[in-house]
Amino acid sequence: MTGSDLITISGLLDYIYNRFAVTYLMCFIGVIIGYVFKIMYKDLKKLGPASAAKMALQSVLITVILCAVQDYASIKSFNAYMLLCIFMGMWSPLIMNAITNVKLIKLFIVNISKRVKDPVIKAIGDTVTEMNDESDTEDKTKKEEG
Amino acid sequence: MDGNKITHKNNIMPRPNKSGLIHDTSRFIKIRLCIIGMLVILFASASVIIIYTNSVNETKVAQENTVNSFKEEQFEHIWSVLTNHILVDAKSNIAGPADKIESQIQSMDLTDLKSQLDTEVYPECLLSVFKNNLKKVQLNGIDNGRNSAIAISNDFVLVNYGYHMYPTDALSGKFSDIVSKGYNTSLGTTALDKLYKQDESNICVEMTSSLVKNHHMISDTTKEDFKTVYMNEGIEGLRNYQFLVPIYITETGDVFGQDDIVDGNRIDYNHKFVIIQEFNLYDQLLKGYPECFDDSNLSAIEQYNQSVIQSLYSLGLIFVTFVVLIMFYCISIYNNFIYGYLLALKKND
Repeated sequence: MTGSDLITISGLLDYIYNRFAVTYLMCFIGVIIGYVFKIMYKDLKKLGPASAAKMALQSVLITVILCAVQDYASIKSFNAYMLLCIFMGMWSPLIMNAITNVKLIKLFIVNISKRVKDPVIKAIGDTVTEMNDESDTEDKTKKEEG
Repeated sequence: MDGNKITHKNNIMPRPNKSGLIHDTSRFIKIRLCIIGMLVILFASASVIIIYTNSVNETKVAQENTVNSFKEEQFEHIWSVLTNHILVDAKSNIAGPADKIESQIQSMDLTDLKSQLDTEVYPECLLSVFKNNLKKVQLNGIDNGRNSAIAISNDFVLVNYGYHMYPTDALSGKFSDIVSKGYNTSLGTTALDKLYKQDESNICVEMTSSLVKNHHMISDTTKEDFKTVYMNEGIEGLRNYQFLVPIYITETGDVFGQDDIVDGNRIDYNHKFVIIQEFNLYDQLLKGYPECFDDSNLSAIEQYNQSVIQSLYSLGLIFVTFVVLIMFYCISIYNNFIYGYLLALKKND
């Protein structure tokens, strides 16, 4: 294995471990702590058994969000990042609710589409006129050759 | 709850009564114990992971420091080679031709020459003196146009054999214009300033763009400037630096007796000739000091470091997987207790 291969593998492992795995574990711990708080304040009868799959999914979602935040803002203090992971994990049910809230998502999509709409329409118009111009010039050259 | 505690104290094993209340309480205690156990495991694994990851990151930093100190050592060697050997060689290489040029000019009709130079006419006989003496001047025999000689007077290029770097024709332009059109303009400005003020420190220009991505543009030629480039980009970062080693004819004025400094002030204009030995640092190191390019030790250290870091990351990944599996196991145990508890409650109802 060459030096560059080793560096590539190290980079990959660095990302998988330092970013994803550790973030996932901390988020998972946060989710479980959040659930324990629920047990403390809610009736066990109503709460029922814990859903491991739901917890795992919530952790994955928070992990993805936190990885993106880390890439964007690059939080330098590792310990602060770990705390953030745990807190985000604890608040994951709320975040999940926000994401799965249809009204909220609709509002977000409408806002985004309003912002994107004008430039996209303009770009499409430009491309169409360019294509028309190209076809016109092709026709002209064909006629001239003919 | 209190009544149950009393039951626990009085009886070693809780026994179910007719209503099954003690049975429920024991399950509830088991649930609480399970939760406490889970929390202990959670905090322990979180602490272990934080400590482990911190130590892995510190190991990484320590490895980077080792590599940096190795690079620093290599740079110290390159710098000592530059200052103690290459610059000295360049000075002595150009000193002989400069002496010859000075003596040949002195033997010419200086009054006639001065009157021509005053009208900014450089006679062919003068140019041929420079051409003849500087044509074959190459530092350490490297004939690639980057290690040749240049002659200038009043910023006019008289002779220029650095044909890869500048226009080849004599009187092709002002030296300041040529240098300021180079890649690193701030370094070029510093070089011109130093050259015309006869500064003793290193003079260097960077005329062509570097192949290194995000190449650091230095504005001076101190040891720290070059060190920054070397530490970030390695020897490839030093590839395009052209050092200029000047000899002034004469050191304090011109051949016609006009001093540079009159009444304590440096005058703007006289007919001082500047003979420059230019050399490319990379070329010179490659030719005379190939050990500067030997990075086998460095790559061995880096390979070792990479393998250590990879093992640490792999171990960490295994640990994280193990902890996550334990979590799932704990959740399943907790759920079993909960199912039992709910069943018992149903029975009670």
